[in-house]
Amino acid sequence: MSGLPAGPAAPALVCAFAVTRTPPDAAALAAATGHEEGGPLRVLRAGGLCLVVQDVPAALFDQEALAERLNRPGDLERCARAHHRGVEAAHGRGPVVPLPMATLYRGDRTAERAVTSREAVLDALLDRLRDRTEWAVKVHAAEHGPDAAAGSGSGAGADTGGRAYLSRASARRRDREDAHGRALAEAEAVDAELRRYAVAAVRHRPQSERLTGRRAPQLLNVAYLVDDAERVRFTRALARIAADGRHPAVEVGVSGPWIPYSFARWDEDPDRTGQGRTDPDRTEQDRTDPDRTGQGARS
Amino acid sequence: MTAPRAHALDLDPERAANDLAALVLTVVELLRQLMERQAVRRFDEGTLSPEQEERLGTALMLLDRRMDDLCARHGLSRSDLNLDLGPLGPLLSDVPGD
Repeated sequence: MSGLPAGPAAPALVCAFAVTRTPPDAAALAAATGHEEGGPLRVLRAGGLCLVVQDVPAALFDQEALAERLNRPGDLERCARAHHRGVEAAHGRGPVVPLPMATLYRGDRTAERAVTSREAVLDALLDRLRDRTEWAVKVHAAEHGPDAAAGSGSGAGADTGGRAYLSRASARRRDREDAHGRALAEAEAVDAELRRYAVAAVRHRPQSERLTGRRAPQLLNVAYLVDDAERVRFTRALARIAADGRHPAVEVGVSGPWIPYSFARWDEDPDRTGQGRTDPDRTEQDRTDPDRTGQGARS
Repeated sequence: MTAPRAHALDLDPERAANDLAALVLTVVELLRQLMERQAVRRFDEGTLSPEQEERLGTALMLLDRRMDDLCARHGLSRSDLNLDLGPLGPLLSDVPGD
């Protein structure tokens, strides 16, 4: 399947999934399906590294077609799952650097060159990600009790008088601000506790309520890179946080272990992964998150 | 939840009228919240005279009730009026219990 004609008129593009040091297990690769519209998964050699790729039809994957498809939640989810399958197939023998979803090249040569030109960065990343997994933690404010509804319409609200109304509004605002401040402080405390067991952490933009399907706002959306040796302590810390009742203002949700997508920025200095354009990866992974299944179908 | 509206274009005229009503009410609710916030700030600072407090409070209270009526008439709850502005967060910060 090599030797595709290069250039904008090419009928197929090369979709790259992940970089590894040792070639992935051939049987696992053959058994996996990447994008349903594309060919079988295969391995390119690029310098000392391996790149797992798949040929995909240009008609569906050129910039325009892809942008349009990724705007549809159903297609986005399918694409993210396909990408995750490709990355998982590459995983399994040693560390893997997952590439951002829909990393496309005109042909094998361009793809290989992209890897060889960044070999040093990728090598460092492979070292950094070896025997480590990602855990996604989302902290939400606890849902309010019925007291938050006070003041509108019925019963107590009938207590007329403008001043009374203003002082009720004032008290309501103070309560809300206090509750929010408490929840934020607890979220920070949870984060600080979990960081003790993590090699690194990346804060992502909190997800909107539409995406989470919750009424309470998401306060913290953090990915932790956890050493396999620390995994038990990390999950124990999470269990302790959920159980000991020291954080009544927040709810903590976790998913993992994941392939460390959030820590695999190969176009950035690994020390700077904490900032900036980490969101596209995040979206992709959240869509792959089993918790999120069906979300796309509902909207 | 406003979610089902986001990705479908529904040309049912009744539904379209209701969506328009929801949008108008969203703008009104935003203004109402801004006014209320301003009034509460001045109330807390104590820079209003008792008559001003009474007048402002009464006006806001009536507006609040009127919003309840209007929402009920269009089959909406206050939380339906909120818009998700993505990275900017929700449009309306004061999300009432219902």
